Amino acid sequence: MKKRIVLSAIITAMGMLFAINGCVSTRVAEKSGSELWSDNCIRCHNAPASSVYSPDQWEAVAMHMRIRVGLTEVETKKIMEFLKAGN
Amino acid sequence: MKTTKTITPLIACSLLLFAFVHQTDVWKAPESAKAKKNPVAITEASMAIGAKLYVKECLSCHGKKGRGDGPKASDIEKPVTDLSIAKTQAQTDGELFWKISEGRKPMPANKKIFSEEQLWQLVNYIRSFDKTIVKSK
Amino acid sequence: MNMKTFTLLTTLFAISSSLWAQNTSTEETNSSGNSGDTKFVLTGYGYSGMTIEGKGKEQKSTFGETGFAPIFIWKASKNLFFEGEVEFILLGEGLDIELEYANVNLIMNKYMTLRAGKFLSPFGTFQEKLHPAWINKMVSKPLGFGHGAVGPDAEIGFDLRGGVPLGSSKMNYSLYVSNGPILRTGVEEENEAGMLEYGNIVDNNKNKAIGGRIGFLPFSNSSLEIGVSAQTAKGGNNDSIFFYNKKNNAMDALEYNNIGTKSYALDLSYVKSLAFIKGTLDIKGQLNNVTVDKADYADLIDSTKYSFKNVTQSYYVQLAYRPNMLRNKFFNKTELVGRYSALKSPEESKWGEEETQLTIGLNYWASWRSVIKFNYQITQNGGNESEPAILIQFVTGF
Repeated sequence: MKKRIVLSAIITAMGMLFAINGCVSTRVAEKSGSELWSDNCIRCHNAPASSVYSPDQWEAVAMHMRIRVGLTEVETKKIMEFLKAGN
Repeated sequence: MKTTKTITPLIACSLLLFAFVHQTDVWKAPESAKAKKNPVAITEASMAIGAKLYVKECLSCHGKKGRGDGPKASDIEKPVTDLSIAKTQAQTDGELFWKISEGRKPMPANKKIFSEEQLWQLVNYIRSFDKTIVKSK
Repeated sequence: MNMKTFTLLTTLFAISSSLWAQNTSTEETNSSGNSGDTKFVLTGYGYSGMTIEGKGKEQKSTFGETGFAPIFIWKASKNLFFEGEVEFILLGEGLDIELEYANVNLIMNKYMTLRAGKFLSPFGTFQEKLHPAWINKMVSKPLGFGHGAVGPDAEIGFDLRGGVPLGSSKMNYSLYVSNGPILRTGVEEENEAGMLEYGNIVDNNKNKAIGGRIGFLPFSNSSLEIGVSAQTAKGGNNDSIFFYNKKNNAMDALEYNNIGTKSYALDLSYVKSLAFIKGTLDIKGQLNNVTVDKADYADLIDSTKYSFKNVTQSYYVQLAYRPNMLRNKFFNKTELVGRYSALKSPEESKWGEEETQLTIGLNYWASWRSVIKFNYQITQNGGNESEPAILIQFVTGF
């Protein structure tokens, strides 16, 4: 009984998610560094401002995050360039 | 009861600890930049391009209507500039162009990302946020 | 190490070295100019807090768990990277120091990174990505997700991982070979017979654990991620255990070398800034399940042997909302969080329990990585009375 409720709740939630995001169909590769920074950091933590680290430090931090979360190479590069440009 | 007694000052103290004052210093464009003329005319097509660029590169901090309330604004220690207020809109096209190009930490320098034409298109789009115009309509 | 794992490892190396060779030949020059090639960052986090437990006369409060975790990150070259974290925690008995992870990473190509050393288990997302105090939105960890968690928390071995773009979607993967779990037989600690111990520095058998995770992000805004993880390993010792069995009035031998363990986890994450609610919605959840083959354990006090169905499960769901798009500078830094978690370990084992926990929290984000958390938490253990607690924590990343 309890399982059925949980299951139907999950299915409803997923349906809603697809409804909200259904219209989003841009290719990830076409996204800008600013957009990727905005979308990806918050998956785990608040997004840091570019001033938090120096351009050199951003290179190390970007690699750390690429490996930890499995960001693609292109995403990592764009996010890193965006953050370096704000210094 | 006792718990509340201990907690209330704790909460009060911690909030005080984290309340800090923002100091803003004036950001001035050089005189030569101020006088620069905008070569891009405001047309529907160029505004559409400007809007697209704005969404891609500016929206996450400056917000949908340029009010400095984008989803990332609250975590940036410096207040994000409100593009709709008179203080911003009173600046010349040349000044805005220069500021978008050069950036100021933590705002990125955009001259490498955008072409000159794109930068002017952005300036034109930012003009559409002007509160004063909306009011006079 | 058995033949199968050996072959797997050698194949892995063969593929990786050839791919690396291709990659280095097209290496770009370092564009950052005036600085050296080695980039180093010392980062990490520190935290302290307060706990108030119990009701009425039995209530007690204590300035609680305090910890400090420096993280060292080196980008040695375009392809070579090292990361290490040491965690210092003041616990009941004193200072606890642990090497959380330390691994060397080699980026072989766009889609593959090979790493070796100690790393956090890619078993679900909580342990690997969400457990640090400045990322975890609650003071406590969900039931069955702390140290001594249900399922692996750290591995010593090799891991191949990466991210793959798929048009408007993307995926990430991780595949590892490690020492794996060790099955506790109850000889050292009688009440722990049938439990698994993870993050082992020295393995107790030739079998290696094989595990991994696949994460899928269907939307181009990366808001939703669904992940599936699994691990399979043999946990038992090669040696037999002898004990006096009253029933037979003789010595009895118990063997564990063939006891297998199978674990799986499902995880979900949805995070999105939504203009119509003026804020960010963050939904997270994970289910862990660990099954250990049925085995006989010795009850040394009764001089008998016993056995039980060894399945442990834990899960949590968490919902958070932060009105970060409000223009009010105070309220856009506050966050409301609710979490429900449950843990069920084998009823007939000596460590079996059934616990559920509800936590409600209010957070204030002083900066993107500094937070004060106020939690109210009710824990229900089996049929016992529920235990309320108030937890407060200050955390800062640096």
